[in-house]
Amino acid sequence: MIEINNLTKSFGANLVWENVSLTIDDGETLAVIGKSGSGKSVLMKHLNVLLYPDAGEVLIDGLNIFEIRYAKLRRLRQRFGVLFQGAALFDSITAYENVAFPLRFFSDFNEDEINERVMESLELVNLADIGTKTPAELSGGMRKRVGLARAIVMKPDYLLYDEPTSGLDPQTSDEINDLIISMADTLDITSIVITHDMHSVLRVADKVAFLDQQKLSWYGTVDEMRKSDHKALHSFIIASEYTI
Amino acid sequence: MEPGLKKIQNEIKIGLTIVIALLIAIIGFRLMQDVPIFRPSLQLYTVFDRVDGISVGTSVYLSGVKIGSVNRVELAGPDSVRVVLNLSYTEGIPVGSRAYIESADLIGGKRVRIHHSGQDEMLPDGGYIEGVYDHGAFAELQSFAEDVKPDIQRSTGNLADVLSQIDEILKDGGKEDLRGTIATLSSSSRQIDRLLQERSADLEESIISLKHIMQNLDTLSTGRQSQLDDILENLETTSQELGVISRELGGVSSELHVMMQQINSGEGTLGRLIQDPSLYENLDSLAVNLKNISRKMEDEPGHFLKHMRLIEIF
Amino acid sequence: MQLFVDVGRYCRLIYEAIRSSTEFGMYWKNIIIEMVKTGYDSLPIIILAGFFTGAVMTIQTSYQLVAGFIPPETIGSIVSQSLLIELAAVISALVLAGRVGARIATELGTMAVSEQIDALESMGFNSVTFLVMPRVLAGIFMFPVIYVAAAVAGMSGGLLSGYMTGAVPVADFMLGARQVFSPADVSFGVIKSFVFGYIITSISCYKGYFATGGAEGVGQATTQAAVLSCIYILVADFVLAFLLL
Ligand SMILES: Nc1ncnc2c1ncn2[C@@H]1O[C@H](COP(=O)(O)OP(=O)(O)OP(=O)(O)O)[C@@H](O)[C@H]1O
Ligand SMILES: [Mg+2]
Repeated sequence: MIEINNLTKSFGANLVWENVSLTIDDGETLAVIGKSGSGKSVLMKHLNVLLYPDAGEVLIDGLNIFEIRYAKLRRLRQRFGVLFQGAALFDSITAYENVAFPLRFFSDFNEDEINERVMESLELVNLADIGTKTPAELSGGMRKRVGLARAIVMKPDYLLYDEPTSGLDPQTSDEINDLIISMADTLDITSIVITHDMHSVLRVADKVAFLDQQKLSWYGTVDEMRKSDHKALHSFIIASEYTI
Repeated sequence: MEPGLKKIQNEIKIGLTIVIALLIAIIGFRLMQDVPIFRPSLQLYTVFDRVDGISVGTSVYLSGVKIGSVNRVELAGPDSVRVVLNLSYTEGIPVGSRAYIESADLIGGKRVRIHHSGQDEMLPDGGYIEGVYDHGAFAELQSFAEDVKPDIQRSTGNLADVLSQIDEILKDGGKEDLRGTIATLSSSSRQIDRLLQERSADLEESIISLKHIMQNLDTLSTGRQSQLDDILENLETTSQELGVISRELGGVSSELHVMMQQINSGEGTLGRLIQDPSLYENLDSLAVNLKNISRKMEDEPGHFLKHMRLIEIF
Repeated sequence: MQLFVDVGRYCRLIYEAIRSSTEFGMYWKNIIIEMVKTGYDSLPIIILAGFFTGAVMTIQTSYQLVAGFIPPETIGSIVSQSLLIELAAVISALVLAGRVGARIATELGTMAVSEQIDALESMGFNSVTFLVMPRVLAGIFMFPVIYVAAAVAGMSGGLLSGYMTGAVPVADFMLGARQVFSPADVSFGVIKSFVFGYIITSISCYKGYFATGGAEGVGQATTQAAVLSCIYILVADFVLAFLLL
């Protein structure tokens, strides 16, 4: 279980958001929505301590993750799979090696086992045939999917997706949404999905967090969101529906 | 490319690079220290009291052939300098050999010369070879002259005294006296005996000094010496003492003669010896005296009977 | 003010790099790769630079020492000693401040601005150890090799140009070189190259690792890495000369 209590973050004089509090239960999928620059990515980076807050705490199974020692933090981070907004593939190695990368350093698999796991992950994102290409030779959508394959290859407990479907065609988007759902259901993975895509919010999310006006503007289940008369949320949903 | 293969290739690249760099560094080091690169080399050390003109890299010669160089020069004490020689002479340097520091050229350049002792046993690597600072021919003569100068001065002073006294006796005693003296000389005359007795102390002192000089000079022509011996042996009528005196005198004067010749002909090696005026004056007066005697003997050949050849000596 | 921030963050970075160095075995492959990039791949330019440095020095020294009574081996002495003490280390460091420093800063800068460093951290890597340590170690280990290459190339250049122009016969050059050769000079050069290797790689890692602001930020980091490396090489050269000579 992830508890976020009164989290506040600013970069210098630029306040991103303050007093963000929410809870994500195990196996649950939280969608974080909000305008560009509302601090969605920043919130996600607090969950595995890539950023430290100005105030507040994040408890994972009751443990304040901002207070643990670095060695322990590194072990904690390995429980997270992260898809970064720009995929963050290592551009000096091939797509295949990108996916195999964590396995090579943090598993004692032999080459065959690694190959099996990598191919499994790549098949899940529909990219079984691009292994030998380097990130520079892939399209933006392909890079995103390789990043997703890399995020799930270690079979983590938590998955953080930063805009997994942006830049993808509707069909692939749906496949990714299915993947997120199946990861959450079959493997009981807790997921945080950052997205602008209301279509995928409605498909994958249990709960929705809406960041606006430098705070957590609205927070509730998908059903509650449908009924909500929160103005900003409403206009955000309507605006994003146009973009689909 | 197979990732495993690439990794191995990288490691080979780095391994090779480092090994080759090390090899080149070692070869460079040996080249710069003038150690043969592939052959085993011999390192000897020696100690000199001084090493003016010797530095790292100075060549080492054996029989005029360069066989190595100076590897290290370090002060081992106020008056001793340890010098390490790297030699590429595979035959080895025998025990008892010596290392000399000698002039390589006129302007003060120095080199190390190894004198081969010819013994069978070889010095081991890292062994000690005796070091001699060769001051050079001129410097050697200079220091020798320094040593013998007082002796020569004293001896020639004494000798000059004696000789002038003899000369005076011969001169002042008139012809009669001279004849008498010479008669005495020819037949072991009492006058000479008396003279010898009177002056024996002086003479002995002179002779001892002269002997000392002779030993030091050690360059008396053996040809002349034997000639002299012959003559002196033929001087039946001369006392043994006189014989000794004559021989010594002969030696000295011939020596002086040679010296004079050399000096006159401008051979500079003895220059230092004659730069001291008093020394020269003594030698000169000695020579004058000796010449006087010889002239008198020439004047009175009869009295020297068949020993005329004595004159040749002077 | 910015200076203190920089110094503090730099020290922090180096401390981090050393702290997790127990995981050395894990990063062995990275060290090898960095050694290839820093050392092996730099050899051609270093040999070229060293060769021409020696060649030019010989010609210029013989041009400057016109007095007839100066023996030709003096040129060998001057060229070889300058090369071993100073030029082989400094010239190669200045050349590599551009080549190696810029590459490292660009690599790490790109990784920083494209969230690759975040990705490494989020996988459980210590990104500093993973990225900085191998690069700095490769610099420290390979720069002495580079020094040897530059020194040997410089000596060859000096010998060859002396021979070709007739300024210094080979034997005289070698005689002069041998006369002044001292292992202490070489160890001084090697110490310098260690220090320069450390300076270039650590400064470039620092600039790259903390790069922000997209492609432009990477460009800035690269420029600063090269310029700062050059400055600190010259400063360190002075300090070392002061301390060790
Ligand atoms: N490392 C950083 N240093 C300074 N400011 C930052 C940094 N990261 C983010 N910010 C600022 O924080 C705010 C939130 O950025 P964030 O990336 O979280 O936006 P976002 O909601 O993810 O937007 P998008 O939908 O475009 O990805 C922005 O104003 C951004 O300028
Ligand atoms: Mg974002």
